[in-house]
Amino acid sequence: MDLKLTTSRVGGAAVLTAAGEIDVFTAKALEEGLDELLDAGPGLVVVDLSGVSFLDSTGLGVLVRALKRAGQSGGSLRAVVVGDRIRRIFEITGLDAALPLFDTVAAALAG
Amino acid sequence: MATATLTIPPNPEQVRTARLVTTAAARRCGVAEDRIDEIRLAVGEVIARSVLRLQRAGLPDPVVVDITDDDSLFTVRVQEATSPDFADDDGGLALSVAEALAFECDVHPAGTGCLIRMAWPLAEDALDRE
Repeated sequence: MDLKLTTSRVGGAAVLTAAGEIDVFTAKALEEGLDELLDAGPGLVVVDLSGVSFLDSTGLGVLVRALKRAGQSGGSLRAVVVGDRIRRIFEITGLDAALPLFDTVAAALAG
Repeated sequence: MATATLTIPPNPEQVRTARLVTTAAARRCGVAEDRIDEIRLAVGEVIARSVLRLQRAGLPDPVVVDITDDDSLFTVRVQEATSPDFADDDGGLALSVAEALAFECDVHPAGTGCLIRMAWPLAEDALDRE
């Protein structure tokens, strides 16, 4: 697996840190990681993609489903994206309009 | 003209390898470095889409990726056996991303399946798509 996921808690928020490549093979692991945090109840979930070198539309699909789930349960999802390579796919697909993107975890936690 | 052909089983685990080979070929052909990320993502999208289509259709056939370059274009053709009428599970998102990233991107029927051709200019100043 070329994707490493770690979870941490900062105050009342959960941070899922992803490192590696998110694609058709690894997107399922990201989905499971996000589902686990969303299952824990409503709240803020920050998905930190700053260590992600590749993200395709299957990964975006996972983020869209998590965003929807978080919204339905009264929680929220924010993403940390560093660099144009990953930010570009959010812009192409228009997902940057629905999912708030931040430069750092601290900024995402502060909203 | 140089040509390389990859035959990829319809297994999501193999898509990363295909991305690596395609981007290595693009670099060797002299594609500008700032286009390499576009190629990685567009080709990754199309191959992943093909793998998922074959899996959903229950077909064991491989995805065939042809990489060629001529005087002006770096071209990647991705062919698989599902019918062009077979709908994508993602509402066409993968193909839309590839179309947004490739300089040229077109879909053709090929036998009973379909072929997606993507191309990028080789030289930095060859064509400006902005």
